[in-house]
Amino acid sequence: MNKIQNTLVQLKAEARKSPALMTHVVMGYPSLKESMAIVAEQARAGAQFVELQIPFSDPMADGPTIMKANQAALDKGIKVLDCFKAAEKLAGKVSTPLLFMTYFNIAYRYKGGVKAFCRDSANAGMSGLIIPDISIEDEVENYWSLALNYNLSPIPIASPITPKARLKKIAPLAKKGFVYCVSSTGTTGAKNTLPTGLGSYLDKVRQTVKSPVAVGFGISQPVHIKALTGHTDIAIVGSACIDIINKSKGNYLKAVTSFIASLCK
Amino acid sequence: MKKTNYNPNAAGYYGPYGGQYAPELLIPALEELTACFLKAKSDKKFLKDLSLAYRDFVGRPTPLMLCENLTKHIGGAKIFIKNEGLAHTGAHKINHCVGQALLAKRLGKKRIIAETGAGQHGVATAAVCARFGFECVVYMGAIDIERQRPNVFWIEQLGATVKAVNFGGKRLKDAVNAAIKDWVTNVRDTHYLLGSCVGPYPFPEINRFFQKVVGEEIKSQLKNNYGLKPDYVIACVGGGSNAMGAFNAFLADKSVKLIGVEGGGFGNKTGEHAMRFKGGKVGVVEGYKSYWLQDSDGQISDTHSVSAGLDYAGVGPLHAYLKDTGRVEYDSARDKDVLAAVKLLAKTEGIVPALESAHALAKAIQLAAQLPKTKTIVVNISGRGDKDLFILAKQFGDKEFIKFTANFSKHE
Ligand SMILES: Cc1ncc(COP(=O)(O)O)c(C=O)c1O
Repeated sequence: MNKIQNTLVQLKAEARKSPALMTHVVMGYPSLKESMAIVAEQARAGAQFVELQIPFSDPMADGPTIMKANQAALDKGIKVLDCFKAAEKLAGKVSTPLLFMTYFNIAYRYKGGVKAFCRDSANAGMSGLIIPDISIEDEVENYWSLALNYNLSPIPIASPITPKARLKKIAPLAKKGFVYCVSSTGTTGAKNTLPTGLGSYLDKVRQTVKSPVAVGFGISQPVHIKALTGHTDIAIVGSACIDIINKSKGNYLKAVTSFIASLCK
Repeated sequence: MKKTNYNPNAAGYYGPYGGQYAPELLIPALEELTACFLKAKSDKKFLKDLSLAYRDFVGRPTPLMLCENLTKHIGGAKIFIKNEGLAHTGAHKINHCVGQALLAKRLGKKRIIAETGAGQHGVATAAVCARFGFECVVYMGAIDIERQRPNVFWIEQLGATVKAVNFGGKRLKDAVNAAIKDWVTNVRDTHYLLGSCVGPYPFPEINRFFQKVVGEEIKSQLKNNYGLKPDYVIACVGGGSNAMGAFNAFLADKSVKLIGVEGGGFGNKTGEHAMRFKGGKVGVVEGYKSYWLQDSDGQISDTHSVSAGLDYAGVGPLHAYLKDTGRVEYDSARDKDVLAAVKLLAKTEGIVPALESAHALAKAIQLAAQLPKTKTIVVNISGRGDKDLFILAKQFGDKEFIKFTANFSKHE
């Protein structure tokens, strides 16, 4: 069992009502040091999972907020290896399960390829991987089995337009983790309201998928999390975490603390 | 992995290249498009509609012309040009635009989006949307908009909306990114009219299918009008659609040498060229595996070409496979040789080629000089140069034209 699985077991045992929280950080944004401090603070303030995004030049599933953060981090010269070193330090410091989120080319071009990427992620203390542009049907890259073999939880993604037959194919891939349900068609980015019908879409997913489910894209406020109670195991807050940092004007850790606290209430 | 005759396998791979590396949100749309395409390509009614659109809207067949003056000037192999510049809207792009518009109709889509670099694909997309009744949005990098304002104007006159892309390098790759994001958001009612033999399967195959008419015409025109067979077919390679069109009919006949020409820019350093096959490595970006100009971490590099249409970090997956198998040879042409080629064709044959196409021409000029008169070269002139008016005037240092643009707004 990895840390994600342990946390999922624990969450189940607690029989908690409100969803658990997964937050998001772009490594190297605003700087590597600050992004590391933000990860640690999000975990301390109550996030049950934290996504560490390795910046990529062409993040096709991300909206403006995260895309700009990717670009800014790259402009500052952040390297993939910096992310691995930072992740290793963080994993030694926080008990919260950490996941690498990135795009497939980063894993593909990693020295030693996808296999080495998975191995080194596990060795750095990562518990899971989120790669939006690798297909659930992939048979060429061996991504799913490589990740599972290194005791990582590769997180498959489902969307409101995923047909039931595909959901059935997705379900077994989530055996060590959860299914990441995209809340609506679109890219990442904080929104004011949740899409209509989100609850019933999630309920439908849960009829097909036995593993826990998470929902992300657009979730940014405490009321959103409240509204998701009973429909999802995990709420994912991504772009909003970056918006908070952008708005904090320097005192970013304090802003992170109160934001996470408001989401966990 | 079974492969026959350069066809993709069921998962959309040409050898190791291609595939469908797309977010889950797009998979249902890609599957729907694949099913529609596979059915349409052998459907009599669809093929009839397509050939009528080629004939009456696009203006096919486009001419194949022997460049007698140019050939004499160089004194080597015979140079023919396939003049796609005479296709409606001025380039080969219209071929896959009409085809995809007909597919989008079958899919019941209401809206079409596209990316554009030089603006040619944008103009062609806007034209087919007007003709076939689709709402149309074209994404274009802010730098390309500056370079290709006339095409922006025409896209808008054709009833489409141009959206400037202000992130990244603000060029073709970023426009592709923006279009993908739009498609992800509006996938239910929108067709993404991808403008080259790139992107996740089935796009490279769809555009090859709608472009292959170019090579088929080359083959029959050369035979019927001149009693010849080409020894060489040369085309420029951005994403690779015009080259795929010109090459496809000859892939099986190894006696025909095929040469693809990339944007050589002005130097070999990162950001000075777009030579994917010289400076690139295999990567997975924008939904497909191919050669990409990228750094050691896999971050996509900046590119440069005097022609916006070749200024792109990736290259179509079938080209990557043709490169590895050696079936097609890839070379590049520098900006300055390309500009000289534009001038030469204009002066000798009365035809101004697009800057993109002039890359193929520059290679042909160089090659013809080394070959005997008995050899036959066909150059695919993928587009006409009208769209490059402002760049050419600037590059040629035409003082009067520059004065004209400065004074133009002062006069009524
Ligand atoms: C006239 C012309 N030729 C060539 C290209 C390059 O594209 P491709 O390699 O897909 O033919 C473009 C692209 O905009 C173009 O406008």
